[in-house]
Amino acid sequence: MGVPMGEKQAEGGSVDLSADFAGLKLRNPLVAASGTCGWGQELEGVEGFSNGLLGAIVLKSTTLEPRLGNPTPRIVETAGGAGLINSIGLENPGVEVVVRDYLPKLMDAPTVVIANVAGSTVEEYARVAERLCGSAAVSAIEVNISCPNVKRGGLLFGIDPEAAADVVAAVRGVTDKPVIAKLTPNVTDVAAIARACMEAGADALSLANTFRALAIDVRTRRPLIASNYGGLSGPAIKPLALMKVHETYQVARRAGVPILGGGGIVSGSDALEFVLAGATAFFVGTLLLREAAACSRLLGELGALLAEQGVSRIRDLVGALQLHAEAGEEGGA
Amino acid sequence: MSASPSSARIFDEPALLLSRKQVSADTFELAFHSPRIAAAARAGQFVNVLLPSQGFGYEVHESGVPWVTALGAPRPLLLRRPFSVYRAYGSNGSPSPDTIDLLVKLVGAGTRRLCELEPGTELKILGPLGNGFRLPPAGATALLVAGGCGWASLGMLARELRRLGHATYAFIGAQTAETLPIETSEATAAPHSFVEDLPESCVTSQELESLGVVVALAAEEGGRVYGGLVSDLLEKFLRSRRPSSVHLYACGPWAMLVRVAELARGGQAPCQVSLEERMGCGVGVCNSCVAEVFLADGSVGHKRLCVEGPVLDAAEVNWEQERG
Repeated sequence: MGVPMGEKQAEGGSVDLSADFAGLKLRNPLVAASGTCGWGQELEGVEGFSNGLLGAIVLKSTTLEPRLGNPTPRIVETAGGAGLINSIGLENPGVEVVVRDYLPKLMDAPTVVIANVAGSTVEEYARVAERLCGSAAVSAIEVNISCPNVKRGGLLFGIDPEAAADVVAAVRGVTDKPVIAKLTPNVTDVAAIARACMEAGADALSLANTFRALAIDVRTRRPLIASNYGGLSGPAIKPLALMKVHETYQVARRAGVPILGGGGIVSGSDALEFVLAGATAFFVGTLLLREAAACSRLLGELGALLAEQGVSRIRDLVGALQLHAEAGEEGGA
Repeated sequence: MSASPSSARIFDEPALLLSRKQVSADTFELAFHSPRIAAAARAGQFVNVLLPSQGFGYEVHESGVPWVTALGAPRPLLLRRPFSVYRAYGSNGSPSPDTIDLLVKLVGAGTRRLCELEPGTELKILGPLGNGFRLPPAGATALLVAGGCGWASLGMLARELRRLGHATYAFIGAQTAETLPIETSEATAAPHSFVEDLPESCVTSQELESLGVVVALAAEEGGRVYGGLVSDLLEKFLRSRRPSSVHLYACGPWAMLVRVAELARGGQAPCQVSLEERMGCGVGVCNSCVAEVFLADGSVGHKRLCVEGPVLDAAEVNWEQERG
């Protein structure tokens, strides 16, 4: 499913920002992360934002049955205003409502629409993915094996290579559309999970989902999140997420599997770091909660940054990070 | 391919802070030039304020002890902060609304930062957001019940109700008389007959009285107002006189809302409540600010307070839910 180019190279000025991501033709590499752009409708009424500004949007995680999610408070700002902990708990109305009420409204969406599936069992993932991918509005499916905020499924699938592979293979079996495995950073060896997902048929990888996190009210001595723990996002996690993308790229590059990378991106410079580390496309999430209108600013910054360096196509910089020779890949810590 | 401004229903407007006024010990009124939001806002709606990143390098903890962050660096705030539209009006005699007032109580880092801003500072304000209050039928008497800065979501409603000619009562309570969310001064008229045990000399809100609103103030710790809970004031009122058609509007702490909803149910009066919850985006994408409601079929569901609220019918709210 293609989107016509144009409009000043999709807001990048003279620089070509278009991206080919697992066969999806994106007008630019900027993607709205799952859980931060609703069902593709909510932000359209906000001044300065349009789905048409983005390369793609990823819809909220969808499960077989409706889920009410976790108790409130579900969100807290932390890390000196650089971080956000959330624990929503995959609240969604269930796949039948999503297919009936939300997907039809995205038939003529001016961007690539990626659905997102979550579940408690491998079978649930497969059934939901099949229903979502049955809609012509959906161009690809992201498989959430990394939600830190649900008791069953979610993260459990994402921290074990075999379980991750089972889920990805099951989804792979029900659709010909691109399958994107969304990975958790809450593992020691993200490359091992990435490898398992690729072997199971993932066309692309996305990371990093949030980092498991805790914030405490020092007066009440209780967590500030009602379900105790949550997932950390925002600028605080950018260097951590970048490292995970870098590690993943070492194995994904050889397999020719593209990465949708992100975590704490708030500027064009942040986005370019992820591209250099190996991301073919990048996502923003927390930034959308703060300022949906920031997307066009970010693309403008990215275009200007590349133009300044004499780069005419962003795709030429994917994985262009040059490590210092002496430190090597094992450097640091 | 930018979003056309004409299609936007929610404005993200650069807004100039025009003035800042302290109205009580911990509450400020801030006036912003924000013409598109001012023109569109309805009573009970709110805005989401993006504070400038240039901060003061410290945060004052609720204990009152300031601490310096790493190297005194400016401290950004990641999320916007939601505030009710307290007033919307034309400044300098302008006939069309171009200014909004926010009523801000100091509670944490965000509100403190906001109240320390100097007039002339420009912020980005997203709004108007949320559903707002439904107005009562002609001839109905409106009873507005506020706990603390809950008054912020009712102030605009009080004006609108008076403009439409409704008999309007404002019951406003706080912990202490000094932290009432309004400016108070010596009451000249006789105290209301529905309260027997008032101190000899009382304070009131001249501003509200000049609008024709009947004002009844309460402070848990007493002072020159009724000493007790604002919901007790409401109860006394409902017991002593009961206009034929009463509509209740309430915003404040959960325990107060539970009591007001009980009184409304007992008196079979329609009651709308404006609920608060920690909020993320303000536009319905993050699902942070949900509240439990009973759906038409009797099952429990959620409403996102930023889009399907913050105003809910008291009758649909699950008052048994745990609120943090």
